[in-house]
Amino acid sequence: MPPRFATEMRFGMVEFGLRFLKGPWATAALVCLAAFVVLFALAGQTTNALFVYSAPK
Amino acid sequence: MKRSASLDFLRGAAAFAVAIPHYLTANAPFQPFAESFAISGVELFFVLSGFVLAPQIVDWVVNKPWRNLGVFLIRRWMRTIPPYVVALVVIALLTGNLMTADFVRYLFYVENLFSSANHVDFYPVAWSLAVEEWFYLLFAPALFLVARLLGRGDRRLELVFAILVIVVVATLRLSVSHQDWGLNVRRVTLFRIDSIVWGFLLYLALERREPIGLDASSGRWRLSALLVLLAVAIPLELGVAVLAVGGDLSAQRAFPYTSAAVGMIAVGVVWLSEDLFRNRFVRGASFYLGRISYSVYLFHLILIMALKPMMASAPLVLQLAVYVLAILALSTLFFAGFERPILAARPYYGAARRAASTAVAPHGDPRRLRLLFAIAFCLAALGAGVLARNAFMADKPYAFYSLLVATAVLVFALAETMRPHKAGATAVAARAFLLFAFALPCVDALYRNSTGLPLVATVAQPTYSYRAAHANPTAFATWWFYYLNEWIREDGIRAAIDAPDPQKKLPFVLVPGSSGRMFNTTIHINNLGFRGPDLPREKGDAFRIVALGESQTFGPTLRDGEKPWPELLQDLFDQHASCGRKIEVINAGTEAYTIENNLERMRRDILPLKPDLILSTHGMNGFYPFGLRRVAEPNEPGVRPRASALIGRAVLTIERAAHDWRGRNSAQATTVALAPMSDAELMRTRYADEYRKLIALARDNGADVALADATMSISESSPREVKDFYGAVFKPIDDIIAANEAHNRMVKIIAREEGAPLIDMAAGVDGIWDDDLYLDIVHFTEAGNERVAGLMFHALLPILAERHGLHCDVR
Repeated sequence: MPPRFATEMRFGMVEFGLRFLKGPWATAALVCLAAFVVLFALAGQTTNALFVYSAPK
Repeated sequence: MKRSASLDFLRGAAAFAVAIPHYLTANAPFQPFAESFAISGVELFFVLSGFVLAPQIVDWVVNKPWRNLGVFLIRRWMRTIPPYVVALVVIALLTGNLMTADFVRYLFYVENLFSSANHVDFYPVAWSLAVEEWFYLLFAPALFLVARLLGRGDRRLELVFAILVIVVVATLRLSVSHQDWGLNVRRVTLFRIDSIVWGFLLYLALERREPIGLDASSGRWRLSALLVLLAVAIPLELGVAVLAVGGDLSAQRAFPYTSAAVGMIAVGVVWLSEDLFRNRFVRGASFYLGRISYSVYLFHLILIMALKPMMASAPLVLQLAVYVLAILALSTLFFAGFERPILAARPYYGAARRAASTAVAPHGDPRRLRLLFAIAFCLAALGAGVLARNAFMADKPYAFYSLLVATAVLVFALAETMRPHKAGATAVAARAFLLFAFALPCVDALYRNSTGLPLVATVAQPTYSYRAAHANPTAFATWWFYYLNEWIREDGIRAAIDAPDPQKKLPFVLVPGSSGRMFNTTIHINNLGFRGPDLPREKGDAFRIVALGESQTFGPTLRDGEKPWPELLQDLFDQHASCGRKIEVINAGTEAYTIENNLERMRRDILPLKPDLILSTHGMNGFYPFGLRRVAEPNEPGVRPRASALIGRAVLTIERAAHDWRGRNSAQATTVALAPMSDAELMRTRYADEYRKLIALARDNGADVALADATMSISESSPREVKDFYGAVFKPIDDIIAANEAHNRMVKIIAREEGAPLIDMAAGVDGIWDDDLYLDIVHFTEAGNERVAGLMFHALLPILAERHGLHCDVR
């Protein structure tokens, strides 16, 4: 592999990583993850109450 | 290369040349002409693709730094992959193929690499995108490396390399013997990569040519001649395609070359006719068509799946108009909201930046245009959001996930339109919503797996008893969600057979002649408005028994062939008894009716039929309104099947917490054990009054009345844990059991006082919780209906003999 290519690739990846972390997508990904954690926490509490329901008579 | 209106027009035309025939051929008999048209449209795309990518490859990649090759690939991937993944996920969701092996093969463009590998070809247009993707990955890097190795990058090298690729692929194609040409040759990446190279060659040929000027007459003549050539070439291509799809071997061998030739003629002629697209409107429309062409290609199958079944009975022209409009709308929204921001974020080859950035910039007054877009996105997002919410409530997961993604895309588009490329709370929220919408199906699948709840339940193995539920709680949960949904779903049985009461006295009425599906059976309401087969209004010589009751009598049967107990009772009389007269049993059970409702129904529908015997089977529905229940049913938030199990459960937790909080803050009396009602108290209840009215009304009209007491799966003597099991649904269970006991005591007293015959259900039906007789606390299984019918049959025989002189011989 030509050394120049490797250097450019390395710098490109670092640059891309930094831009991504500073941008709104990274924050959005964290927010999204947090939303799922909250949903799982809430949903988990009702797993034992699976059979609690109301039926038409 | 400058953006060309003529090529954009061709790109849009090719997309619709695929999309419209696909509409005609979807779920329809084989139509070779329409099929060939679509096939030719795809081939045109290939040549066009090679033609427009060639300048990037020859000017910016070959003999340029490594970075440029990276930029070329990243630009292509950013252009093609994100929209493809969106379309793939949506279609996988719609067809139930998300995260299957086939899905993963599509995701990595390897479903047709060397042969057709997928078991289910649920995204049949993806093969051509795989050909494109592998062209990017193989052709440009290989040419780049060859040029670098040889230290030259002139046109001659590029020409020789392109021809070499075509020869190699043609040889490979010739070397295979194929069973299914369409599947294993025409759509296989390895055998089709040359189709794009032809476009590359065309560019090398036309690179230095200017579009034909129309100002001189010679130019007009040349252009006319070229257009005539195109007009002749297209039918020839279609002819070869028709023969090829029809199985003609020579046509199949020739097809790649005729397609390439016609594609080159079409692209070349259209490229040279750029002058025809000088008009501002035509240019704008062409650019627009070009921009949306990719999403047209990606999403048209989804729209066909969504729209065609709904419009099947409409005239074809109308269907096509709606379909094309829907494609235009969806593709425009998707381009503006999804593709454009990604295109704008692509890297550039140095000085190409300015030219490239103007190619995707909006035309016209940017602020006005932005406002218009913002309003459109806002309205569309609201609409999609409402539809998503409805799909969520109605437990339609495929529709819900798709609509949530659509809402998120529109919200993202709205945020980007209002504040493009800005960081901040709005940008983060819109992006988080988008990520959430895309991730939800997978996360939901994880949650469903962890709780054992399937996406769609069936009645394959119903599990309804306490014993069966304890043996397999997951099966019970599955069964119960399905069971519950059959009662409450918006498009269910109630919508099909119930209608509002025109006289506004009853909660609803059954519609004569209607029918609907519930579980795996069709429920038919006969000509007189009762469940069961049609009956003559005049009874003739028959002895008419009307089984008057609630949903227990109406009968929520599960499968075709199962009958509610009144129909089974009819069968018993028909097959096992000869009574001198025909015994006719009418099922006058109605779900959710009380004895008071049935009194109204007696006056309206039943007494005109001149019944001889009213068989009263009332119970549960009147316990509370008529004073037998001492405690109201708690109005608790209950589990409902929702499109997203995860969100549904989370919302339920919040609802429960809110309910508990309100309970703590209200002066609700705590439940205390109440003493059983005395006989005197019972006889003063409204329920007792209603029974007396029923008996009087029947007798006044010449009909006898027999009273059956109420039956439930559990009784006072049932084990505590069984009571609690059923009590999870029917609350408070001890109060209901006490009410049932009180009701049956009351019925016995009334029967004695009024001299009406009594049918005691305690023998073999009431309280039998462990014999699979019940679907829940009151509704019968097939075995339960048979048991009740048998019990009624044997109880009615002496009543018919003693009170009506009908002595039946039982066989």
